[in-house]
Amino acid sequence: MSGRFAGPRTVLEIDLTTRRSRRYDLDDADFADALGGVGIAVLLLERYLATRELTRVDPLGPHNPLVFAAGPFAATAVPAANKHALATLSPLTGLLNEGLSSSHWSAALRRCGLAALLIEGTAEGWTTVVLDGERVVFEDAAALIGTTARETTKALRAAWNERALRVCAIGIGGENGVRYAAVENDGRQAGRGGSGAVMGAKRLKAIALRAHGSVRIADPAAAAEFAATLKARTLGPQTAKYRILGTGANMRVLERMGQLPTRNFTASSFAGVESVTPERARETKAEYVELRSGCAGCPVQCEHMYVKRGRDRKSAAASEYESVWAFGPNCGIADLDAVLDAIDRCDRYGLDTISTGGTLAFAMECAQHGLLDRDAFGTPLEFGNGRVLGPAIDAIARRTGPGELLALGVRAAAAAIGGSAPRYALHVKGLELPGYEPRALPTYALGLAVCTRGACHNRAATYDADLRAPGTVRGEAERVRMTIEAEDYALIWDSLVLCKFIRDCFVDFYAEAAALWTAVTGLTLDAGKLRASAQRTWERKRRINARQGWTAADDILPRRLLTPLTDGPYAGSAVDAAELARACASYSAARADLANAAR
Amino acid sequence: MTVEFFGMARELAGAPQLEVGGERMTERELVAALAARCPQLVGPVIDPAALCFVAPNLLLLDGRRAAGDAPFAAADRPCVLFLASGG
Repeated sequence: MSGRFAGPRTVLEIDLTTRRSRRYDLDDADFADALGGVGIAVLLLERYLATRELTRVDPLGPHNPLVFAAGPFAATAVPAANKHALATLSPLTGLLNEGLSSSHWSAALRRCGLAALLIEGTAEGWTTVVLDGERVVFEDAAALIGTTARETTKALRAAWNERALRVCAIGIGGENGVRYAAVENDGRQAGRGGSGAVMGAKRLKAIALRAHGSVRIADPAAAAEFAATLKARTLGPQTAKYRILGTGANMRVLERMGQLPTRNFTASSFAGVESVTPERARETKAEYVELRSGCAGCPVQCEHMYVKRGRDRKSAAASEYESVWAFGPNCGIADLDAVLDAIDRCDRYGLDTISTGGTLAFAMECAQHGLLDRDAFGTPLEFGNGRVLGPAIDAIARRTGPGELLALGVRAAAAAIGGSAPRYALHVKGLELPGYEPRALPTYALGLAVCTRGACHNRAATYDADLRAPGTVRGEAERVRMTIEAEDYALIWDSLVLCKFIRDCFVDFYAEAAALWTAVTGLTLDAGKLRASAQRTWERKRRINARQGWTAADDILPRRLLTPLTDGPYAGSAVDAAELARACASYSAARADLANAAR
Repeated sequence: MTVEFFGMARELAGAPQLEVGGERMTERELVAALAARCPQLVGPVIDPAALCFVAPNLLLLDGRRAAGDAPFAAADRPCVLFLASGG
């Protein structure tokens, strides 16, 4: 290793119980080991648990830390790199939850001189933490309770007379401990796994950053040259799909392929798809206004938002595939207005759209089987009824009526309801399923089962290979190899942290990313070391989960996926439980071999 | 034969489907026919030099089978699909 890590290397630890804080520096070896973002956040979380000998930590208790770690390219000219990781223990899964968010907040964290921020303890009353340069200020947040993250941001900016104050905050969902509440900054969310509930349990309404400093780059000329090249590529055909259409374009494709999960995964085709595809909103310009948005420092501006003409543009909702799928096909709802309104409500309350949609689909099926009151929300709780989304989401965020139960997520709600309810709870390790059909995607099925986070589609895009070559029969060894490769590839992106939407903008990702890292940080790195870093971070993730009680028996898929699809071109397809168990065991053995080889 | 379009191909062609001549054709022949019939696809969707689709566009028959090197017919329902990961 040569040089010294050029960027901020300080970790700030804040104890909300004692209102004390301390700073210390990470070594060059830590950055070389874990890079940044998810790698550093996971490293710090494991160190925290290990040094205190903590096991089976209550995710909503004071000993569950929230760890924010900036991407090492944040606050530089590298495009699509203003991102940070947030690692904590999930109240949905009880296991590690590492998420990402984007935009100004990550850059501000580094400009406050920090590589990472760790928050432990529980505040006595609702609190906002403000980092004013090197100063840590604790403020009473009682007046902010009941406000959205955006309202909180506005209020804090006014109070501090600082338009550039960067705020991450929770909404009502996080305040009320909804187990799938998100943490929001700059209109972006660390959405999945309930980090917002952890923040709420700490009575931490917001963290605001008033950044004074700048970030040093080891080789500014080399970094600027590479950043300019990458920026030019991000405006080319490699990202046209995100710039012009957005991920919502997947809706029609998955329907045509016969693998669009529908009505809580009871079908794989949705007759109403044309009514909810975001492309239709784009095509019917007379009905909807399209707005564009994106993260700071990203030329792609991938977010396509829609609002019905004549309505307040502030209620425009992002039309990401997963969000539209969760309230559309997965709830059997063919009403785009209702779907967009549901997404907007989730954003205002600070709720994860995938888990909220998954929980409502579960509730609809429970009601269908007489396990929940069909009329609890004033309009029938049933597949296809768009009118129920609004009142049901309101009840979840406020934890009123059946919302109290549904705020727990499908696994805990099903356990509380009892009877046949667990059959309708579609989750992995407690995290609700995203919108891909594992029965049609065998590599994805394995990736989903072994994912340390639960049912997350972003920790390994194992569905990619299956979707591009449907029907391809792959042996167990090949699926295991592809899963590990996809996980490690994603981990490197999540540690650097670069937005995966620009992944096609690299000619030789490993070599170019290593060169970029060296130019920005001053630490030498090559493609081999990048890959080795991913394996080490994966090992840490699994060790954290093992501390929390994870065993191999948890690497399973919901029972519904073990029963054959009954419609579409994949009718008769199912996940074979015994075969999946063998593949999971092979996967663990292969990971162990990689760990041994690295020692 | 009728070719169904999704994503960028649909956006650029301005239509959900397009008729191209020929009863049976290979993927390369289809790419060449589409490039001639719908030049706006060349570049973002079609690589004219390699006569193939530019990822993430891909050809699947009836939305679920790769075409391979063998010729296919209209009854195979060719689709130019498009995948945008993430979201």
